[in-house]
Amino acid sequence: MAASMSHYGLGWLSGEYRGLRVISHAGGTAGFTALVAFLPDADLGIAVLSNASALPDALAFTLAVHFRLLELLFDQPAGMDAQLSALVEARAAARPRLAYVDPVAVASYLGRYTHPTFGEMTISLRDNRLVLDAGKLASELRRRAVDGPSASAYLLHDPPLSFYSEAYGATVSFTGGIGEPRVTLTIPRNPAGPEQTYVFEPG
Amino acid sequence: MQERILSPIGMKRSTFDPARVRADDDYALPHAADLSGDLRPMALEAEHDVLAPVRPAGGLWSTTREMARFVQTELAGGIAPSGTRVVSAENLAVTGRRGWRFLISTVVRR
Repeated sequence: MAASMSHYGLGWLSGEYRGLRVISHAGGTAGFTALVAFLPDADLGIAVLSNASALPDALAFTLAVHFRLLELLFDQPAGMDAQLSALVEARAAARPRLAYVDPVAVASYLGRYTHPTFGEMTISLRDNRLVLDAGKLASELRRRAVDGPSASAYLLHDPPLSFYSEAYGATVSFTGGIGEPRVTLTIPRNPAGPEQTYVFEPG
Repeated sequence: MQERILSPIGMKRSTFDPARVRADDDYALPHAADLSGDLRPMALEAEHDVLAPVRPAGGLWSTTREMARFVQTELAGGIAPSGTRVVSAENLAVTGRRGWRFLISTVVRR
C-alpha cells in the first residue's frame, strides 16, 4: 500500500504515504472542495482549495492534486494522472444522454405553481428551453434521450439542483393537461427512506 | 473561533460569514458540473444552505495563503507564524492521534 487514510482522530484522518505519517482532512460543498494535509515527520504541509465540485467523485481532483504533489516532492513515479483520467472517462461513460424538451409538448404546463413546503415556482420557456425557476434556485429541464420526444419525466440539468437528479434520480413530471395541470417532483432514490413525491398545484 | 484561532494565526480574510465574503472584492464563485458534464458557475448564495448547519465544524471561507498559515501552525506544534502559541503541543498531538479505524483503503494502487 502506497498511501492510506485509515484512522480518524479528533477531526483528522490519519494515514500514511510511502511510510510517512499523513494527517489530513478533505471536504466539500455544492461548489467548492478543500483539503488540508500535513506530514509532520517531513515538515510538510499542503492546502488545496478549489471552486468546483463534480459528482460522483467530488474530491477526486483535490485528492489527486494532493497525491501528485507528494509524488513530485518525493520523486515518485506519476500514478495519479492516469487514475484521475480513468475516473473522468468512467464518469463521462456513465452520464445519461439527454435531449431538449419539445416546447409544444409542455405548452399547457407553463405557469406558476405552489407547494405548501417548497413555496412558489414557475415553469417557463426561455429561448425555447424548458426552465423550472424556484427563485433562489433554477434549472433547465431536459429529457433522457432514450425516453423519446413524448417523455413526461424530466431531469434537473443545472447545478445545484442537478445534484438531486444525478445522485437520487430526481425527476420533474407533468400530468393532468390543460384542465388540471400538476407538476410532480419525484425523488426515487431518497437516501433517507422511501421514494418521495411532491405535487405542485397551479397558483 | 475568531479570538482563539483565526486572529492569532493571522487568517484575516477567513470567515464563517457569507456576507463578509460577498463584501470582499476578490472571491471565487462556486462551480459544479451540470448533467452534461460541463462545469457551471453557481450563485454564492447557493452555498449558504449547505454550509450554515455545519458551522463551525465546517463552512469556513478561506484562502489558500491563509490555510497555509494554518498548516504552518500545525507543523510548528501549535505556534502561529507570528510566534503566538495558539494551542499547546500536547493538546495538538491529541487531535492527530489515531482514534478509531475509519476505513481500510488503498488510495493509491500501484
